[in-house]
Amino acid sequence: MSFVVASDLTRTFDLSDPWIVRALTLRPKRILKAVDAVNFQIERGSTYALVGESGSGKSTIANMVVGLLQPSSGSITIDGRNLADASLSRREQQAQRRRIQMVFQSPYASLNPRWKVGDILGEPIRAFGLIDGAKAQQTRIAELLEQVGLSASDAGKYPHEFSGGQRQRISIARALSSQPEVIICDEPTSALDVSVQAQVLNLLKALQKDFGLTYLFITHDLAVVSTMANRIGVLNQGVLVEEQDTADLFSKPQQDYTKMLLSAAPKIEFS
Amino acid sequence: MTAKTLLELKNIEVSFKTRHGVLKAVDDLSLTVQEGEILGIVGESGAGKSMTGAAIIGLIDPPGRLSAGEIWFGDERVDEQPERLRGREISMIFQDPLTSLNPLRTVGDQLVETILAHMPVSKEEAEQRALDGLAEVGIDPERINAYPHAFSGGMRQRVVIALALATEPKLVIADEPTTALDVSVQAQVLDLLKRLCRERGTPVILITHDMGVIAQSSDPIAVMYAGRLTEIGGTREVLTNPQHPYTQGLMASTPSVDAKSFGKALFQIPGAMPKLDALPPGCAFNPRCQHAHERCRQERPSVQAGRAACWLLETEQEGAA
Repeated sequence: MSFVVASDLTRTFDLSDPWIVRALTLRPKRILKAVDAVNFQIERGSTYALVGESGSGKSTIANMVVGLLQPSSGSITIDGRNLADASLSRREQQAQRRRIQMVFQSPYASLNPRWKVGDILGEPIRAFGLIDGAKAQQTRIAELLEQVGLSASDAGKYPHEFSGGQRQRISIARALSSQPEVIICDEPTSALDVSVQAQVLNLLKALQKDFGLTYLFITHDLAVVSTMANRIGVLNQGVLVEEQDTADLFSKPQQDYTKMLLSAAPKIEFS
Repeated sequence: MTAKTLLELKNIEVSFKTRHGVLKAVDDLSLTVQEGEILGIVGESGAGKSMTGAAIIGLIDPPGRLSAGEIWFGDERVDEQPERLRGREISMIFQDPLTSLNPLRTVGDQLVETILAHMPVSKEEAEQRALDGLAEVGIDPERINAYPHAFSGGMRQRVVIALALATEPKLVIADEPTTALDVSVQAQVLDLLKRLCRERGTPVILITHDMGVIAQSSDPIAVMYAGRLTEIGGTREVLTNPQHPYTQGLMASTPSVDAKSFGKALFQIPGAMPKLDALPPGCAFNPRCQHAHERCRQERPSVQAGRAACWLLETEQEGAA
């Protein structure tokens, strides 16, 4: 069985007016199906990319995989365990959470501006009770910072002292601090400049190799996907319309929607 | 050169007085825009590309100001009174259509107001022009009384394009016009902007960070770095055969959908763009440049040396001669 399995994953949102308004206007309930029976599998140590335009449901899926949203129906299992499983004890749930981390799109919004970098990286370590003793924790934080290309002395600084690319490195270090096995990257480079994006993508790749990480990569940018992913799923309005290995998707797209996305992506080529 | 020069920037400088001294957001920049062309200005955040656009149209926020240089529009020097041209002769399209449209007024109102403010026409004619303008950008004229929130992002940007073109400007400055849009919508909006400007012969300055967008829509292009012009030339030449090490690095670090690059590590330029209060002496790129030599650290190169502002090109030429 694959490491991450999403089966018939569905999420609906209730956009209805309050019941009294509905009763007066005789309008029915309005239910939005953001994710509609999506199935995919991710092998351990590989990168699976979900591609789609805004509103396609890709971030909703990311939030369900990491446990920030509950699926309306269907399930996600990671290493055979379902995070939403009610039979799991609190302790087991927490142990499962430690294995899944997330890197968000905006490094400006996802780091607490009032916390020092050392506190940001230390929180997951304390929350999961991974390392006892302040000294040992500090050593670990220094190690994490060096792994993402920052220096140990940066632990005493605040997020605003860093550039966008460096902040995203801090986000990545925070994700790594609980020693996860799966990292969900939700548009990790779309707020960054091209040259910084290259640095961050290369860092993610190097970390994957070093720690055997499994990535679920959410993005709208097909070019970014082509360098990162082993397998790609294309989402359109909550439905997974096509799924192929990276090289095949780019050379032999099957669905019209995928072809349209590929042809609309700006390319640097001259005929 | 056969085409007529419409806009000329002569050694302009935009500076900000701060506690740390005077910062130059745009430093000694010279550019020309010819009739009918789409000039692309590309660069990363902080390169000064938006500041250049703001300088032309006189929208630099204090304490920043245009502290040196001249801006010529046709035969007229305009840097002293840019407000006179804004809206009428030069239109601007901003990145986020949700903030550049007034959410409390219908798109029709906003179009009519813009036309009446800048053109000597009657109210009826302005309304007719508003309807025509919407039809031209592919929006059903029946939606003239709709509010901006009723449109999608791409449709809103079409409304903004209609607004920008409504006064028949002689120049359009588009600052990241498609950055907030999905790729499929981006392609449509760029095509629309290109087509309308070509039909009218209106030149466009397209400011963007996206090399792909530049490649598909503009010619020539100017590459900026740390407030300075690093390279300028025909789009094809600059993108396929970049001369400046920064442009080369930028191109190499842009991910592509090319089969050869699948799964491979991207090229990366070491370091980051210097802050404006800590610019190195000489060429601003020299600490990140693998070819930098003594002269790069002492003297500042300019584009006059060739197509790119780089000392390497000069030494090569000298070597060849």
